[in-house]
Amino acid sequence: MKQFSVLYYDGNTSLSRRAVVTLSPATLEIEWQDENSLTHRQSWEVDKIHKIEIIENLHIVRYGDFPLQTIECSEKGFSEALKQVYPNAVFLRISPLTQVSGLKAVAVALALVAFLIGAYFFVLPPVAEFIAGRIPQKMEVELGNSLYSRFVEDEVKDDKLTLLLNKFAREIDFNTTYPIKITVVKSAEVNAFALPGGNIVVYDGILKKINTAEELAALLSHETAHVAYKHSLKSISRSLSGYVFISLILNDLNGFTTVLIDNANSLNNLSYSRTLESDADIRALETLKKNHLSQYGLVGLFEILSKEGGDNEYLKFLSTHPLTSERMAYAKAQALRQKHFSSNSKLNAIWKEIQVVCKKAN
Amino acid sequence: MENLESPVKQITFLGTGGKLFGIYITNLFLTVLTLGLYYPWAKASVLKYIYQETELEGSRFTFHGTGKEMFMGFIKAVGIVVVVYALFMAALYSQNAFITFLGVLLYFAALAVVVPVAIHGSLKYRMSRTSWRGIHFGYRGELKSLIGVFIKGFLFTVLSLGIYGPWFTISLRRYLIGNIRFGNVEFEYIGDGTDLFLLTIKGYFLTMITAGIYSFWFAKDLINYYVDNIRLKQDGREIQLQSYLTGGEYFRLAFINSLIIVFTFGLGAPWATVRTLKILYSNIFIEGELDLDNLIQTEKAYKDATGEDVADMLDIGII
Repeated sequence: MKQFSVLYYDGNTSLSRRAVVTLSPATLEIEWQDENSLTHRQSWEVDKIHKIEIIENLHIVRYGDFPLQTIECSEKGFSEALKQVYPNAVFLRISPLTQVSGLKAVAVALALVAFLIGAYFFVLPPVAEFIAGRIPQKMEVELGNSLYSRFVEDEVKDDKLTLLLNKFAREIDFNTTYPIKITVVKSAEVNAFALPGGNIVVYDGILKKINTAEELAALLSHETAHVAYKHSLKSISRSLSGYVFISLILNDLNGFTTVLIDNANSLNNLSYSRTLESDADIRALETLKKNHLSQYGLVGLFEILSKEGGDNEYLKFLSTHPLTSERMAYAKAQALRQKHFSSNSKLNAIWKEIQVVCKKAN
Repeated sequence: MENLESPVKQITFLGTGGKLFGIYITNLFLTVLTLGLYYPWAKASVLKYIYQETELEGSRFTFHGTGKEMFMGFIKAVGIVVVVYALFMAALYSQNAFITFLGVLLYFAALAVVVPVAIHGSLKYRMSRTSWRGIHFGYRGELKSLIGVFIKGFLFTVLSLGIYGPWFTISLRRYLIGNIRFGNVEFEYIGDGTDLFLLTIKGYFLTMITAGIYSFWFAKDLINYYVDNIRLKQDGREIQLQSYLTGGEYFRLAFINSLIIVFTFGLGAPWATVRTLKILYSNIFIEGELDLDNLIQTEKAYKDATGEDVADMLDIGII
């Protein structure tokens, strides 16, 4: 019978008692002498023993219901002896998860990093887009309207141009169920953007640069494409989920690292916005074609943008509408192949009115 | 083993960053894979390790809590937090001023109750699951009284624009610590609101005129004030805790820890934790005739871990 010297705690007081434990087949027998040299015995049934704790050489074994009895053994060979005597005992089974150290820990760390990177780049974006795509149109319109009302609060609306542009847009079939609503805002910026749900904001700066009805039709088709493809919602969903993902994982981090990672996240989104722009271009070309309008309108629009791009003030435009020359080349190639188009007298008439108002404003 | 002859005792932390890292990284991996559901088990494994590497008079502390217990608490905590937030958000988006007002009111009312519920549950659970040489800690406070202390302090703090804050903190500590038992040892907190208020004013003032440099000495003062006012009572004897942490030491601790965390992108956090525990414990001395051989078990079995997780979600650090 194997015997080991242990410290025994009875669970009622903190007194350490030097005891001897004997590993008999079905029980652990613990024996100690009190201060009056009286011998006491405790018999532990193996299946009521709690999971063993091993800290280097120290073995801690507990027994029974509250208050637990405890033995601590620092003798070498204790755990080997336990395994030998009680090969199938539950209290000796230690979860491998609690034993990760050294190289194993490094391997787990690398696997984790690889998994997270994979999830961030390959799993998260489609999931975020999927969710954005499932949001009902009604909700999207509501969200867009509340974003819109917050935006126009700080801007000066041009009511005449707004009216005319909406009239212009009604003459074009954008092939979408979204309620397209255009607002012209006074600003020197050469820009326009689409909000989720159908609101399109056009700065009068870009109207002053536009030369033909087809260019304006191209601009509106492009922005409507963003609406129809739910691009803003998808972008918001992607960048939000990316941000939440990162901050969830690294929630213990300090501000410095968070800023670093936040910027990386928006860089990742920037490249995404390029694919969105090309998608919107393709759809804009289709819209022009469907309405028998010249696709050179889009080419003309890009010419305006590339001229403006050089100016630092308008770099903002570049960040959402990047690589104008590539996009222009694509539009040109498409326009060259377009056969059936004509000039639309209704659109031209409205366009003339717009031009008059624009010139007056100057 | 006559403890009365050596009146000064210390708690030592023997853990290593490497071992804690192994636990931490496994936890992180499983938490991510399970979309966060592993969190309670992760927390249990960290607490288990930290407790078992904490030593007093040659014996280790033990954390008896399990992931399963904490998971049940976690589910309840998620439920509570989700319901409160959902009602709050619904009220905010109702576009109706009255409903929004009600929502905000409900939110603060819930906060005023959820926080003490979380503190109470968490402390009660944590203490009941902590033992040393088989003797369990325990928290004997009552939820009703704690809610009373909390709401009174919260209202006074708001009404006084924060000035009452230090008195609030002290009243909470007095109630919470005063209800902790370690076997037949009773805890007591003897800090004073006015002292803490003066300490805070001095801290703010000096931090401002030294462009933040004093903040480390301020933090050191707060830690020492917290520890130095804890008393233990055993069989009529009073035992005192003293922390001798210096501002320089605290500065070095905070500075090196932030370097570790920043340059490892957070992966070095376990080393920072180990450093913190080692330095804090090494400065704390238990002075007085604490007879660690004659602690008597006074707790009963206790089951419920909800507070532990609500506290985590609200980011409340307790004790």
